[in-house]
Amino acid sequence: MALLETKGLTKLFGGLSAVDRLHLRVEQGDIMGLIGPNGSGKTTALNLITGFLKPTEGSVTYEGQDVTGLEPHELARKGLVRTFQITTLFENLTVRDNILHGSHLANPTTLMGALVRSGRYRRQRADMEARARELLALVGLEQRIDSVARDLSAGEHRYLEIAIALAANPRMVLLDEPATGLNPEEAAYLMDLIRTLSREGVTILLVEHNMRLITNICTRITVLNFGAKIAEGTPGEIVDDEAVVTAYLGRRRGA
Amino acid sequence: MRLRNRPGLWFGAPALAVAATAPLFLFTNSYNRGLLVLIVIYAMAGLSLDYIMGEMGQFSFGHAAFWGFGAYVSAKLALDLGVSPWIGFLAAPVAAGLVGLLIGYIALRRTRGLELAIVTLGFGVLAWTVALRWRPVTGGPAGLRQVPPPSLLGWEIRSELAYYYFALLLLLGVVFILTRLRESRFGRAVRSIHENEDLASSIGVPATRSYVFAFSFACALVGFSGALYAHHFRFVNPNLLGLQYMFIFLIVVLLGGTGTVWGPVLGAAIFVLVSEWLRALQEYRFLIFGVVLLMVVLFMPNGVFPALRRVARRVTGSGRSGGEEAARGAYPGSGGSEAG
Amino acid sequence: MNWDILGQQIWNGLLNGSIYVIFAAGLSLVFGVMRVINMAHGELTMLGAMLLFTVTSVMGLSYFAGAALVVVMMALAGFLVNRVTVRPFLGHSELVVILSTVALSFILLNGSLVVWGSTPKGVDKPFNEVLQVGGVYMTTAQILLVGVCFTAVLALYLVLTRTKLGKMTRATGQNLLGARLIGINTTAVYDATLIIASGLAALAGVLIVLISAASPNLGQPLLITGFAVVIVAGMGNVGGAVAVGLFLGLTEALFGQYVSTFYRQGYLYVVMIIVLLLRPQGLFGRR
Ligand SMILES: Nc1ncnc2c1ncn2[C@@H]1O[C@H](COP(=O)(O)OP(=O)(O)OP(=O)(O)O)[C@@H](O)[C@H]1O
Ligand SMILES: [Mg+2]
Repeated sequence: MALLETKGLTKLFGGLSAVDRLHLRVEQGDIMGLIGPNGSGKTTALNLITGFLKPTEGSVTYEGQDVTGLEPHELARKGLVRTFQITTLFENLTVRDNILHGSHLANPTTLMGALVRSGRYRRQRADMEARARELLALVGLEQRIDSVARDLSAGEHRYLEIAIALAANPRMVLLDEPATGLNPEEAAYLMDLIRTLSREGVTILLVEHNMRLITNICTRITVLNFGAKIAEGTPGEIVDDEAVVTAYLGRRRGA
Repeated sequence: MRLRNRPGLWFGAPALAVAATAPLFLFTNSYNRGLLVLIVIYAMAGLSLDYIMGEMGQFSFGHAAFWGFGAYVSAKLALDLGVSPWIGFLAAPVAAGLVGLLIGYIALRRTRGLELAIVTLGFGVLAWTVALRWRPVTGGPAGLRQVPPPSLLGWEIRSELAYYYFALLLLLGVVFILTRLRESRFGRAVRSIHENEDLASSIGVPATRSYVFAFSFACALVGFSGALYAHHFRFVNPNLLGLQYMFIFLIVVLLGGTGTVWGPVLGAAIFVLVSEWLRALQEYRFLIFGVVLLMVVLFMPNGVFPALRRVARRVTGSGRSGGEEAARGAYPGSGGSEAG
Repeated sequence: MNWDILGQQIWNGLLNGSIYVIFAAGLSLVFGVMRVINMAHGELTMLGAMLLFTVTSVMGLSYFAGAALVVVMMALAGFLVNRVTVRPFLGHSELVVILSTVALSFILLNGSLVVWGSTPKGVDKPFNEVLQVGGVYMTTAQILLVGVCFTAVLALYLVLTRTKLGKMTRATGQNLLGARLIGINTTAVYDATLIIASGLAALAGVLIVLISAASPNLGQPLLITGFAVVIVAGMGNVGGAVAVGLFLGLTEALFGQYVSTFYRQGYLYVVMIIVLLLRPQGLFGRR
């Protein structure tokens, strides 16, 4: 059984079908790449899967359950977490608070505990703090724990975003162009990070323009054009696919 | 350094000392002590409004309606059913909180920011109209009189002095709860929605539900403040629900500084005292007040408290305490970003 | 059914509706273009009415000359309103602008009370003959009011849809940054918006005195009515505000006649609440 599956997923904006009868299957443990030219509907597909948009037609199944039309926070509760194409953080908070605020689902404290600062509450807070440090160490931001998020560099922004997503203890993460704005070293670091997540058992759907990144780390790739799937396969198969080359790679090379 | 770990203590401790001893000097007659009571009540109302403004990053133009509603609920219970004001102090926030839950549910499902301000204005104006028109229940434009004061062990808390200390104690309780609430899971959820609603939803925060509860909490708190008002000044009338008090609370919050617990307390003190001093100017009073207000907004758009805090930091030499400063600074605009 | 009474109420509703329309259009325009809730809009109308009283009764100008002078003066004052209470705060939060316009309304209201006192002042009408059309009584002053209102709405419509300024205001309202990027001088657009809105507010003021007295206290109730109209229409939708203002004016009069005089005041708010319950973004508002 696939972890995530969409059937006939369609989104119309006025007359335009941004996503057109998309069938997508992501198996547990996959790093699935989702690529396509600008405006081909990748972000819209992500929004449909994560509940930020309601599909015009079609369904989304996650862990064998129909989750079509659920709210984003309900999906997050089920372990389905996404990041955004435009860097999205709690900009005015420190790196630490970004993680602590992001740990809503993993936060065991109670209102009463916080009011009276019970011993249990303090232990739970210390645990959360430790976990925040662990996550920041994982993404390489432990030195920046007291910085305000908006002061971070572009690369650090992206790592922090991923750390926030991880703070929700996801089973599957959907990343929308995480390498945008990164220099080659930062992108390489990001690649390692994604591989690490995958090894830890997180299933990944990766939207990306950076072909090197995609072909390097993805186990499977789906290609969109005008909202519809035009190809699917292993990186090797995709690079050789005629339709893909014309629709996407060809144009890229020519550009 | 301890001050750094406890932001606000540098202000809170001296402020508390001044507040506790104020009736001993300056505020020695009952009229002036009445002003102290008013400061405390406005401070509480301001804190509740600031929960919506500073913590949620939203705005409610109907907040005074909940204040007046709380006042009416408690007054009505005492006058018609002979219920003790103590029960009224409980019933008022519960009733205001429940109505706030309903209105929050209606409004927050679809509106945020300025649209929410307008929607709540609508509800507020409706409540005011009802209070004015539903004579048999509300007493019409004249309102209700002879609201009884609370009594403790057979002794009526009637003098300004006693009521002041009573209310001050409650205010401290509110400040304490608000401070702790921020660190709770719920408080963090509210804050995260304020910071970025899309991101908060994506990591599992039920944004609308949290906001509805936060809104309801603020309404309950202001309803409580309203009940305190009713049992001290011993009357209620429809004006309590109207724009006049709405403006006062707004001034209290923005004058003091939003997103800080001490801001509204300071704002309430400044507002009550300045408008009292300006009383000598008679009909020019509110004109001057408007000018003063405009000046304050022009030169201290974040309010007086943050300005004071900057000075205090310079004096004590403690540097910016990073996150706290950033988090409690000016709240960003409230137009929620759309998913997309 | 007495048709004469019905006709009379429709006419009365049309009179109030005309005021609502002009008032709400300005309020909505400012919100639509600048995302500013102008809490001083009611006091601008009040000021229009009071200034008209001064220039006609005290300085002896005719109604028309006085009205024209007041509207032009107030329109120019709109520039100041922008520069003093709106523009300095645009970098801050939207709420600070609310406070600054509240401060302005404090100043205008209390300044007016100092200058004019709180007793209502009558203004001489240019002509005030009573006509009977069918069974409906109307005065020439009332006809003037309705005529001016419709002309003003038409003019506003033409400005907003046919002129370059109108296009620039729309672009600015939709996307401030985008408008700047394509080279629109948004400062000038904001100036122009408040000039138009203040002019409209003052126009409502000089028209109100045709059907009631001028008083420093007329601003706040009008502001609240204006918000009711704008809420029902959907904030920022000028066309919607016009349609809803007219509709509410008419149905309010009919409600007062046929349902309850006593609760007539509440009618607007009940409509508003029903709309809020079913469609918090307003009838013409988009999510
Ligand atoms: N909210 C919206 N309303 C109308 N049209 C939209 C909306 N969101 C996206 N679109 C349109 O849908 C199409 C798909 O957009 P989408 O953002 O999903 O593409 P994308 O593959 O993510 O592109 P990119 O690589 O540039 O991020 C585009 O034509 C876009 O203009
Ligand atoms: Mg995209």
